[in-house]
Amino acid sequence: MPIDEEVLNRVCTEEPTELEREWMDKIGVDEFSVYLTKLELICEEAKQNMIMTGLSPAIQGMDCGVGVYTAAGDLVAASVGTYLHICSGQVPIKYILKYYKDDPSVGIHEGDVFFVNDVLYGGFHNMDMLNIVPVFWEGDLIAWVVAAAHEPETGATEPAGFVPYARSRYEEGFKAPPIRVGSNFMIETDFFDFFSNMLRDTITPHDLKAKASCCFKMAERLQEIAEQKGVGFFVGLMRRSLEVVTDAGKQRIASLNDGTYRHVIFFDLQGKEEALGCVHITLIKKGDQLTVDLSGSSPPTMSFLNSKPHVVRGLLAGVMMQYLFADFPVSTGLLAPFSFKVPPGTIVNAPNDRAMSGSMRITAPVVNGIMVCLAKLLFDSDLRERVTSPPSMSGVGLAAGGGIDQYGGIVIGIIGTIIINGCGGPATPFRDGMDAGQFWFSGFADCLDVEHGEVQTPVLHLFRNIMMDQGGPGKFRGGATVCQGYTFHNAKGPLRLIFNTSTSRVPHTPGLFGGYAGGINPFLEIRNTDWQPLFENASEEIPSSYHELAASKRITYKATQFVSEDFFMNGDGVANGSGSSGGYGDALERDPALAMDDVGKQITSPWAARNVYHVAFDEETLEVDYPQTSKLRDQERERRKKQGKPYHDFMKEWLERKPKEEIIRSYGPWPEGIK
Amino acid sequence: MESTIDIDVGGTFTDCLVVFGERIARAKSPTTGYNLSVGFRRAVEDAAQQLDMSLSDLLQKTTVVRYSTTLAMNTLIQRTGPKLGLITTAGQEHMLLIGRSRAWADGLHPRERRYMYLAQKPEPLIPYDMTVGVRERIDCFGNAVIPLQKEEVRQKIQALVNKGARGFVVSLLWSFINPTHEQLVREVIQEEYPDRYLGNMPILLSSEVQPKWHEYPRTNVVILSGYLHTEMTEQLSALGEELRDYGYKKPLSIINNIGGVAKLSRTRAVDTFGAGPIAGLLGASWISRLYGFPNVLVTDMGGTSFDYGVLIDGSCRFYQDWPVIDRWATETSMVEVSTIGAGGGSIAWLNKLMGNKLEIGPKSAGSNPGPACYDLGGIEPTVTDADVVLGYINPDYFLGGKMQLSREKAIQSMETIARPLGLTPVEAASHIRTIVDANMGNTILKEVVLRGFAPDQFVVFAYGGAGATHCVDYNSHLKAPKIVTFPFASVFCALGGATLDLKQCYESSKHVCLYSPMRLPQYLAEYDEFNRAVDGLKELALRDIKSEGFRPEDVTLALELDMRYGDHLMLTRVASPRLHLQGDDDVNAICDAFISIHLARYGELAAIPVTGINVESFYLFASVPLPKPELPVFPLEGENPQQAIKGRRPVYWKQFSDFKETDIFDAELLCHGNIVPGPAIIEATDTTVVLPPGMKYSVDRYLSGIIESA
Repeated sequence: MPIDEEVLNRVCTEEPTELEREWMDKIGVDEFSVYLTKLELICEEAKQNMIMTGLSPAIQGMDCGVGVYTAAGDLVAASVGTYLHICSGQVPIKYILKYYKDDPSVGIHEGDVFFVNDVLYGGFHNMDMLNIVPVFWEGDLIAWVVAAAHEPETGATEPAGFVPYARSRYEEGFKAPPIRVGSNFMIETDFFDFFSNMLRDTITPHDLKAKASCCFKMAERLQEIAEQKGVGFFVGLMRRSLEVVTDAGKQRIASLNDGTYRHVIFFDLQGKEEALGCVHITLIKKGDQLTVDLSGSSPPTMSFLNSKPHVVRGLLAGVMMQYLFADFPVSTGLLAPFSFKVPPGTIVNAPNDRAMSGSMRITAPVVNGIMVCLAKLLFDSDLRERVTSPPSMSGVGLAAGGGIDQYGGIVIGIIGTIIINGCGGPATPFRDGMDAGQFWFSGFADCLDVEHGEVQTPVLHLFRNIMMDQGGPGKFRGGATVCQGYTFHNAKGPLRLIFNTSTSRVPHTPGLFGGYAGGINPFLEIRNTDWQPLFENASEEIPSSYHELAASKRITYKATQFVSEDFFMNGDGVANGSGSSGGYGDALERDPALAMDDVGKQITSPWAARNVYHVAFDEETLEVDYPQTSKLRDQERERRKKQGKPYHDFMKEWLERKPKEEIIRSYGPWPEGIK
Repeated sequence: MESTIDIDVGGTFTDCLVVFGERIARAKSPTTGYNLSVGFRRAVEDAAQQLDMSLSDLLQKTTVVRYSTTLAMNTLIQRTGPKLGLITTAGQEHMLLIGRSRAWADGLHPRERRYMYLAQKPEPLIPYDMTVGVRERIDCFGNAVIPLQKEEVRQKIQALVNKGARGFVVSLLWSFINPTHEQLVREVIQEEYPDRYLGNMPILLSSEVQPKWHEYPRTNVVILSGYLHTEMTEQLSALGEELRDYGYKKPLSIINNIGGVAKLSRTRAVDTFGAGPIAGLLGASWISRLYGFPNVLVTDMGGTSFDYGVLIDGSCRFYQDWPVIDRWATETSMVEVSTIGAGGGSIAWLNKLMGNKLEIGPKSAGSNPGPACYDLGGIEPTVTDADVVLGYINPDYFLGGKMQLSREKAIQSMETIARPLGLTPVEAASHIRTIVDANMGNTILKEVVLRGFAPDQFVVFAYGGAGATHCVDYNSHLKAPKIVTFPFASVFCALGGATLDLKQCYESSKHVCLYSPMRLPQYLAEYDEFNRAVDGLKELALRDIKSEGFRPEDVTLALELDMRYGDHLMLTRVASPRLHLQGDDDVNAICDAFISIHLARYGELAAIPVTGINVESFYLFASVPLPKPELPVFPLEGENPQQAIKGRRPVYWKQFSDFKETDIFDAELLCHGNIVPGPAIIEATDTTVVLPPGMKYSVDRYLSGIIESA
C-alpha cells in the first residue's frame, strides 16, 4: 500500500472528461442556479441527518461535515460544522481511484463504503474519520459523497486519541488508509467487529454506520438528479461549478496587490517537554496566484506535534471558506490560486513514521500565520471588511480521556463540556472579536450545555464562564474564551485525562497591526482537595471562576500544560480554558467606555484596564475619567517613544539575542530554520 | 344568532374573519404597530359593516374572539420589555454571553453563517450586570450537593433590586429534576417583597415554566416569558377591556404556537410567538379533513417570504428540531412552519464573481419602494416584475385594480439581468421565475424527505398573495398530484384561527429506559415512573382545563415523547400510542412507534437498538374541541367556465418558449363544477392563478380551485 505524495499534494482539480466538456456549457442560466442550490440542500439534509443520528459528542457540537465530489474526486458542494472534514475528502477518493478502481480484489461498486482516517492518506489526524461512498447511475460512477466527523476514540495508547508524548505513529492506535468497509449498502459485520475490537468505546464504531446511512441518503438524492436531468447534465453541472468557482477565486486574488508578506509563529511544547520551535511563513501574491512558502521551519518533533502539507492546505481552505471566499460555493476550485512550498524534514512536512495525532496543534498556528499575511494583503483592498486577526485556532487547552462514568459504563472523549467550541473570535478593523463564539476551524460549533456535559461525563462543574483577560487587547480586542472547572463526581471508577495543547508560554494566536496576541491559559490540575466540608457549608471558598481557583489557598492544584501521570478519582478535578483571538490595533486607541464595559462583564480585569488600556476610572462605579485617561495614554506613548531606536540599531541588537541552547535544542538552525 | 371573530395580526396587515351564522365576512386593515388594538378595531369594524352591523352589535353577539398577535415579536424587536434580574447557579453567570457558543448563528440562514468576519451575538435580554450567581449545586441525579443559603440569596436579590430589577428569572442547574433550590429562591424573594405590598415583582422559575434538560434553552424560555409578560399582559388586557366596553362578554382567547387557543390567563407569552402562520397551518389541517386529504404541504407565498409546513394524516405533528424565537434557542414545542426569503419582492441579481450566476434574494424590495413595476422608485428586478413581464400579473388589475402597475418599468428592470447574459427581458424574467420556484420547491422537498416521506404522496395547498401565481411551478419539483388554491387565500391565517381547538401543552424531562437488551427483563417492567410522569402532567392539564370552564370529560389527552436509542443524544418526537403503561404490549407499542419513525427518517443503518431505547421528555397535549365554522357550499353548475372569461392577452408559456394569446378568467365569476383548461390566467382581487398548458383548474363546492394535470 504505497504512500503517494503525488496524490496527497495534488491541489488542482482534475481535467474534465469528454462528457463534462460536452455538457458544462449546455446548462442554462436558470438550471445552473437551481441545481447548485439543490446540491447545497442535499448536503444540508445530510448534515442534519448526521447530527440527529451521530453518537460522537463532537458531532453534537458540529465538528463534522458532508460533501459531494465529482467522479474524479473534486469537491463541489458541502454542508459542515467544520470545513476541514470535507476538505480532506478528495485525497482518499483520488487514492481509491488510482489504486483500487481497477484492482479486481477491491474495485468500486454501488453500495460500497470506504473508510479512511490516516493522515498519510489524506486524513488530518486519526480521530477525524471519513466514510466515502461512490455514487453510481446506470452502472457508471458519477460522483462521490463523504460524511466525516471527529470521533472520540482510536485505540491509541491513551483514550480519546490524543497522545502528546507519542514518539511514533505506532502509539496512536487505529489508522486506516482508504479501505472498503461496506458493500451492498451495509457495513460489513466482520469489519465492524474488528473495528470495535480495536477501540475502547462503542460510539466510534456505531458512528461508522450512522455516517454510512447519511452517505446513502445523499447518494439517492444525487441519483434523482441524474434520473431527472440525465448523467450528462449532472456531471456537467458539477464541472461547470468547479470551473466557475476556480475563475472566481483567481479573479478575487488577482484584484489584490502583488507583494510578499511574512510572519513567524513560535511554539514551545513538544509532548512532555518544553522546547522552542518555529514556522516561518512567506506568502507571495503575484497575479492570480498565491504561494505559501514554509521554508525556515523547525525540524519534526518527537511528539504528536507533526504535520503534512496537505493538512496545512486543508485547514487553510476551510478558513478561506469562512473569510476570503465566504461568498463562494464550497469547492476544490477555491484552492486553485494556491501553491505550497513545504520543505521535507520540517515539522510541517514530517517523515511518515512520526506521530501526528496532534497535527492540528501545529497546523493551526501555521494557518494563523498565513492569516496574518492575508490580513496585510487584504488591508489595502476592497475586501478590508474581511481583515481579521487570526481566529483562535491554537493555544486551546483540551482535556480528553476516558474511564468509568457515573453509570458504571465507559466514557471516552472530551471530559466536561466541549469548551473548545467556545473560543474567542477574531478582532476586525471595525469591532471586537466575538466572545465564546467558535470552534478553531468552524464558526458554528456548539459548546453544548453544562447539563449535557454532566450527563455524558462524571463531573460536577464548579464553573463554566468566560475567562478574564484572554482576548488579545487592542483597539478592538480579540474575543475571549470559555473556561470550565469541574471535579469528578459520582464516577464509578478511575479516569485517565490527557492535557493537550501546543504552547505554554509563547502565544501563537497573533494580534494584528499593534494588537496583542490572544492569551494562553494553563490547566489547573486539582488534587487532594476535601470538597465535602466546602460543599456542605456552601463555602465561599468554592471557586466560581478560573481566577478564583487560581487564587485559592484552600484548593490544592498545580498549573500545568503536561500530561498528568496519575488517574483521576472523584474529588480530583481540572480547570481549563479554550483559545482566544488576538486584538486589532493599538490598545491605547480603544474606546475607554468599551474597556470599562468589559470590566463590568468580567471579561477584562481592572488591572488590565489600568495597565494595558491605560484607562483611569472610579473603582466603585467604573466611570471613566476621560481627561485623566487621555493623560495616561499620552504618558504611555511618550514612554514607548523613549524605547524606540533606529531600525539598524534594533536589528543589530536583536540578532545578537539568542535563547539558551537547551531551549532551542529542537529548533533547527538558529534563527533561520530549515530552508 | 352568534358570531365568532378571528384576528391575525401580520407585519403589514391585520386580517379579520367573522363567521356570523352562515355568513362570512373578511376584512383587512393596516397593522398599527404603535397600538395593535387600533388596527384590530378597524378590521372588525370593516367586517361588521359588511354584515350590516355596528361594531358594538357584532361584539355583543360574539361568543369567541381568537387573536394571534405579533406583539411578542414587536416587543423583542423594539426591546421594550422590563428590566429583569437573572438568578443562576454560581459559576454560570456568563451563560447568556456564552450562549452555547453558537448563539450568533441561531436564527440565521445557513448561507449567512459562513460570513465569520461579520459574526456577532445578539445582546442578551438580561445584561450581565443584572445576572447573579448563588452558591448551590444539584447534580445530574437530582442530589443537592451544595445546599442553597437563603442569606446569600437575600443579598444577591437586593443587589438586583438596587440596580432596578422589576422581575426575577430563576434558572439553576438541574432544577427540572430537583426544583427545591429554585423554590427556595422564590421563598426568599417573596419574604422580601410580599404579594400583599406594593412593589412585589414577578418571579419565574425555570422548573415551572420549562422543566426540561439543557439550561441555555430552558433559561431562554423563562427569560422570554418574563420579558414579554408585562408588555403583553398590559396590551392584551387593555384590548380585553375595550372589547368588554363594546359588549363582548367572554375572555379573549389567544392563539398559541403549539396549534391551539387558550384563555389569556392560561397563555405563556412565549407561546404566542409565530402563532399566525401556525394558525394558517392548522386551518389547512381542518380543510384537509373536509377534503379528505391526509397529507398536505401547506405553502404561503407573500411579498417577502415563503412559509411552508407539513401535515401528515391531517395533523401537524412536526415541531421545529432547533426552535429559535427571535435569536434565542428555546427547545419549546413550536409547530414547525419554516420560512425562506422568497416572495414577490425578492430581488434578482447577477453574481459577477460566479460567472454572472443569476441569484434571487434574499434581499427584498419590500413594499416601499417595492418592485420596479410599482413605479415607486424601485429599479431592481423582482419576482413580481418577472410575473408582470411574462403577462401573468395584469398591471391594470393588481389588488383588484386598486394599484396600477407599470409593465414598462418591469421590463426596464429586467435589462440589468438580460444585457450581461445576452438575453431578452422576457427570457430573463422566465429564468427568474424558474429559479425562485425551484428554490421553494427544493426547500420543501428537503424538509419532507428529512422526515421520511415522499412528496408525491401529498397535496399542495397554496395561499398568500403570490401562492397561486407560482404553485404549479414550485410543485413541479415536488410532483404532488393536486394543488388547491382558496378564495379566502388572503385571510387564510385568520380562518385557521377559527378552526382551532382549545389546546395546551404540558411538558417535562424525565429519563425512562423502555428497552435494554443488556438486562432482564429487556422491556421496562416497572411502569410507575412512566405513569407518574404522565399523571403529573395530567393533573396540571385538568386543573387548567377546569379553570377554562370545561369538564374533565370534555378533554382529549394526547401524549408525545422525545425518544432516542440509548447512545444517541439527539431526540426524535414520537406520538405515543399509549397514555399509560400497563403491560409489555404497551411498552412494545411505544418502542415500535419510535423504531418506525426513526427508520423512515434516518434509515436502517442509523438504528442502534443494541444500546436500548429511552424516553427523555414527556409532552401531554390537552385539548377541548371548539365549534368550527362552516364554509358556504355552492350549487353545482356545468363544467363550462365561459361566463367567467373576462378577456384575452398574450402570456408567456415556457412550454411554447413564447407568448400565446391566453384566456383570462374572473375568479369571482367561476362556479362550482367549472373546469378551466390550461393555459389560462384566473384573476382574483387578491391573487392570480397561473395555469400552464397541460393543467386544469376545477372549481369545487367551496369555490376553491383544484389544479391537476389535464
